[in-house]
Amino acid sequence: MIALKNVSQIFDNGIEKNQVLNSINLDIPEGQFVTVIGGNGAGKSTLFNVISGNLRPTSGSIFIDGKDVLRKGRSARAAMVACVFQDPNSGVCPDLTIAENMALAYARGKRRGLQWAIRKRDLAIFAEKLAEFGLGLENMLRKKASLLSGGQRQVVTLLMATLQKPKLLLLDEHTAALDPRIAKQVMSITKRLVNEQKITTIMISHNMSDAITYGDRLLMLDSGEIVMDVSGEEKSALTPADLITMFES
Amino acid sequence: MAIDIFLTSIYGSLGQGLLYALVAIGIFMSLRVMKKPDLTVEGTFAFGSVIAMTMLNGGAHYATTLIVAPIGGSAAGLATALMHTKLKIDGIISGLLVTMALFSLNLFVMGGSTISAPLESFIFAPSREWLVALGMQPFNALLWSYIIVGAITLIVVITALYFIYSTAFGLSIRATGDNEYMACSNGVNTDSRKITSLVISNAITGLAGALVAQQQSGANVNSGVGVLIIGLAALVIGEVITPKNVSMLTRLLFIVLGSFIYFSCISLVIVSGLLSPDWTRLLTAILALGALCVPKLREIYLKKRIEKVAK
Repeated sequence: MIALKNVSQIFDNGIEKNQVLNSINLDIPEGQFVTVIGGNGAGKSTLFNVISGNLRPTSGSIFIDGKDVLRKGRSARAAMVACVFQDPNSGVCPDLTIAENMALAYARGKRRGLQWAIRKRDLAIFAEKLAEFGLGLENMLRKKASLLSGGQRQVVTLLMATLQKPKLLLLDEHTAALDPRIAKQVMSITKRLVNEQKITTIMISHNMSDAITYGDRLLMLDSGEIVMDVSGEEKSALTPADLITMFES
Repeated sequence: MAIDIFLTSIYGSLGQGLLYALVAIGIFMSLRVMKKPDLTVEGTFAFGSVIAMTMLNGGAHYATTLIVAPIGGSAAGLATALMHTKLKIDGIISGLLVTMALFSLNLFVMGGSTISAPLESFIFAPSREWLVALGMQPFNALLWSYIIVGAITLIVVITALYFIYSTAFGLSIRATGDNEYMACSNGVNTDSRKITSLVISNAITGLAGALVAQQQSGANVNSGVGVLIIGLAALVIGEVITPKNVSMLTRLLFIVLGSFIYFSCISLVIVSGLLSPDWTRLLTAILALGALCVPKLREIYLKKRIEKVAK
């Protein structure tokens, strides 16, 4: 379970103050899949950065499983929150092999000591998980990640993010840089991974129909505030046209 | 006769190549694994040289210098790393500041601007005496003792590095250099990895300084000058001949080969009388430049060939 209490973020460059998040209160029960929409500058990415620990909020607190996570260091937070970003290059190390990339993610939250980075049984696990996608990635374990296409990278990054079940998965427009066919494929893989392990997930999307199709709950952000919060039937009754009308109002 | 001179210069290059390969490996760790140049190298190298010579001069056993010189080097690396990670000073500037400071520290340690120690106290003495006892000419025995010591040191250093890089900890170091943002979001404490990497690479450079000082029978304040580019030349020559998609171990071994090739080129040009030793540095710069250009030239050549085939 994740909870945000009065989270505000103000960027102050000394000349002008810019309130990006305005006292956000949000409760997400365990296992819920939340989609977030909102125009540019609505505060979506800032919200993610605050949750993932890249930014410290100006005020307010964030609880994961009832514990205040703002007191913990960044690496402790990373052990709980996994992220997949829009840029396919951001999620993998290009010069490491796919197996090495996965081993790095597999050790998330564990001590990284002088044990072997990749053991035989890890390789078998990685190959098995990759094989489930039917993309032939399991035969590329020893290849460098730089050889992967954008879509393949996002699939590998998604798998890496869920290899150790995170308390929270953040997806920041992770299909936006892909062509429509691949984007659809990556979305269905996302849905499968999230549903299989019942991972609490927040996904930012610019694609209105994706935001309605996927997830249990939909939030709309505007000027740093949650202006819409729907779930269940109310959500499934929405159409992309409805959302666009609301955007424009 | 001519063949003798040729062989001697090859043995000499092999010995020097093996010792300087340590410098190239240190540079590889920062420039290639962490993808950030570390300019502490010249300061650390001189510091290692000065520490070893001062200790030997004072009657210490060479084995102790093999421990103290790397510790000195790693302290210099730690200073650079802390400036860079904690004080957020640019990595290049941090390295230059430490090198600057070490210059004075070296003068203090030596108590003068040069220092030497008796030949018998050097790490090369036991293997040289052993070879002489086997009936080898004294001069050749000296050259071969460099090769023996260099080879043993490299086996130890490369094995240790290979193991470190194969562990979960080592993987997180490589990830930090490759994609710091990704490493961080996977829970790696990237600052600690940067610090560790600089500490290890400078320990190796300090060790190289200690060994080269004994090979050159002395150290002075300028011991480190030019070492960075010599190591870089060795590294890039090694990389030019390294096959694609090979393991970390193979990459390290090819750096050693690159170092040998570099010293062979220099020594052959000088021994053959083509150029006087004054030109060594210019030749080094040209060799490094040439090796740095090869990947680009290769790319252009491949593109042209693909175009030709397409036609």
